[in-house]
Amino acid sequence: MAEKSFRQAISEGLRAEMQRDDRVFLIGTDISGGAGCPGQDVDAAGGVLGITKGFASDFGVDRVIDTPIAEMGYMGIAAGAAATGMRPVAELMFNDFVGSCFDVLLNQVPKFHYMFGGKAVTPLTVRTMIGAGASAAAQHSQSLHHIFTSIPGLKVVVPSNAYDAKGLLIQAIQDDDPVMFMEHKALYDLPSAAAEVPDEAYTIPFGEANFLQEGDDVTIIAMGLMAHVAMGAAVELAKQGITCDVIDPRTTSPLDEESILESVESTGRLVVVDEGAARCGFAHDVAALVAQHAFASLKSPIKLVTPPHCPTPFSSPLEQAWLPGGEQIVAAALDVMGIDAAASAVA
Amino acid sequence: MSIIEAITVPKWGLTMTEGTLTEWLVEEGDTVAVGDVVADMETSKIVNQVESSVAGVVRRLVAQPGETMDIAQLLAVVAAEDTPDAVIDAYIADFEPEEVARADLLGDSSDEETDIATADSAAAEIDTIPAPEAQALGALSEGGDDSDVHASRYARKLAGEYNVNLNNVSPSGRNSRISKADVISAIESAGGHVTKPAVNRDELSTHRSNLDDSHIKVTSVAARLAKKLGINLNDCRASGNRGRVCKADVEAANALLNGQASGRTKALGSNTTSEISAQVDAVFDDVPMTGMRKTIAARLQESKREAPHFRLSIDCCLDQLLALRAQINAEEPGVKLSVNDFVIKATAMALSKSPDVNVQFDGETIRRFKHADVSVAVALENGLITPILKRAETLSLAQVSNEMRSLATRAKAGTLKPEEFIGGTFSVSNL
Repeated sequence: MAEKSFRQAISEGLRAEMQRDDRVFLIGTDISGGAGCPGQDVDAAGGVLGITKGFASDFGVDRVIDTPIAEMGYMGIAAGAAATGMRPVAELMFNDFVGSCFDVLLNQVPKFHYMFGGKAVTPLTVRTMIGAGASAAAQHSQSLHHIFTSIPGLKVVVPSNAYDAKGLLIQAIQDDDPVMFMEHKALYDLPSAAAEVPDEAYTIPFGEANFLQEGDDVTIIAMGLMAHVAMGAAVELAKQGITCDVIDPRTTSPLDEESILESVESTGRLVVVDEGAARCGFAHDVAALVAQHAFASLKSPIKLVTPPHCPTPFSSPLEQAWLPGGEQIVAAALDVMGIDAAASAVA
Repeated sequence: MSIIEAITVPKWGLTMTEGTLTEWLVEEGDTVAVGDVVADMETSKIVNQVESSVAGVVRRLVAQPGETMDIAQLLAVVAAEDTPDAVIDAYIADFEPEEVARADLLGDSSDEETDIATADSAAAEIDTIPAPEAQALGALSEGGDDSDVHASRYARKLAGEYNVNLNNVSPSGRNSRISKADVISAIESAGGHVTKPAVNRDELSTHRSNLDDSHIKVTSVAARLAKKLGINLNDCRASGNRGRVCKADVEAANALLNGQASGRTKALGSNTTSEISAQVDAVFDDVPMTGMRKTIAARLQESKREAPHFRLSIDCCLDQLLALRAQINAEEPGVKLSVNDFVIKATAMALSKSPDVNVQFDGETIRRFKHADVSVAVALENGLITPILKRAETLSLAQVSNEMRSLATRAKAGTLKPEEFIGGTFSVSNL
């Protein structure tokens, strides 16, 4: 089993499903890289990230459909195709662009199954990029998974590593419900996101958290890029004798509430790390879950580590300051442990 | 030896569980006969008079006016004049309310006590492991390799601690995953007991150093203070000059380690609402609820909680009804019909015609009543009450009207008898 990057794993997952099921097709801006247009090289870029490079020549331009920058149009096409028996994978290049096609993703696709009395299924998968860290500025750096999580009828996946990405993507395409598959742009080539990934297809069920590390003192919840930041913090904490359960929920909807609660019941302390939102976000959702159902187990107040409530800065130093970092997570963990961070730094 | 007898809180009607003594009508030393009125008592429904069921001299008024007591509790002691005080005191001290009267009231809570006792004994028995439980628990550990069984991390961990084979646990979680709760329930249904680690909030600030602190540079005042307060210097910052722990550092550590612990305990534990409200300037008044208010609140909550609610509303043209009312009121002396009387009468007739509406449901059977006993809500100064027009379908409009007026008058005077407001089959309200 070879070690593969996050990027490769996603590409493999798409390819496996397209080979398995000819109802699966891809649609989005530049995903074949201009293939099919007069004078264009068929094996062009394959999307801005090259994930679908070679797909057009392997599967044909009918199954790898390039679109103009017209999110409302192609998302509508994908929704209609899903409602009539196809299994489209639409790529919304940046999740920040969702405003242009939000009617489809808010009011149409998630509601079909319910509105048609369970008779309609909408097996649409939307791949989209989230996350800051690339100096892409405020309009290309958001992580909006909390918005999709709040919409009943959508499933929301935020993978953190190559192995999970492939298994969860295949699960998403095979799932009869619409799934938002949200890829953090910093993970594609992040060495710690690479993993041993089987060549063959496999699925990872939704709603089951992954314990990245087990410990006794603090439960840290983090996903996507933040899972890696949290693991770095956990290593620092271990040096101070503090061991952590680091839990990657992998999907925010459905959410593995059980694993979170069981862990907090064991450790009694919770730090939730999320790049999404400083207000009304995923971290707040987990905090409310624990406050409602495991309050008696808590030994100290819950700590949240999120970016500040402001647009993502363009300036790289400011952006790094804006992103939740390992030091903040360590400080939060020390805080829930009742340890004065300044004193312990001196010591 | 003289006879000592008790006057106790009576039980007026099936639903009475407690009463509030409003006023004593006798004094200690008075002689009472059987049937004499001794006190006024308010229940959730009425103010009624407590009669003595015994004869003799009132030796002791045990209950105080304003006190709310469960039925069968001791109100007063009646005995012969020459019975010594000490004997009376002993009687009061040893008084036990009659179980018969209380049994139905305390049914729930006594069951609970039994359950707790059972649970405790189950917990205690785990150590000794008596045969049946041991077998059941033993059976839980049997079975083949369970490493492929779908279970959450903590479920597997717990199963390991209690030697439970996960093949014997039925899953309740998403994707048929066994949760920790599933393992606990399997252990408990086999007669076992899983101890839950309780959070001891007093011990939360446990990050106290017990290392040797003799090498730490410290001002002499701070060293004395730390010794006095039992603060280890390792727990102090060193903000003094030349890197020494100073007095302020020790005080800060003390506030953190000792102050915080006690403060937190207080906030989480002992503070009652009244203590908190006493600490701040009163920004509200707590108005004690009367028995009737409590009952109204309890009944409305019960109804909203337990009965499916649906609402129907129709518009009716009342022209003919109003004309008839004007005609009868003009022609019939001694009759003054209200629109409400018509509504009651119409309701009673409708119930006779559609007996499937005139029913009560107790979860097991549907009780269909043969008569329309219509409860009519009457507003009182402190709440409301629903006197009943019995067999309203047999009454004429004039009878409905007169009976209703009589019931409403007595309702407002608080002199309704229990059977006059308990047991209606259908309610009408225009409140």
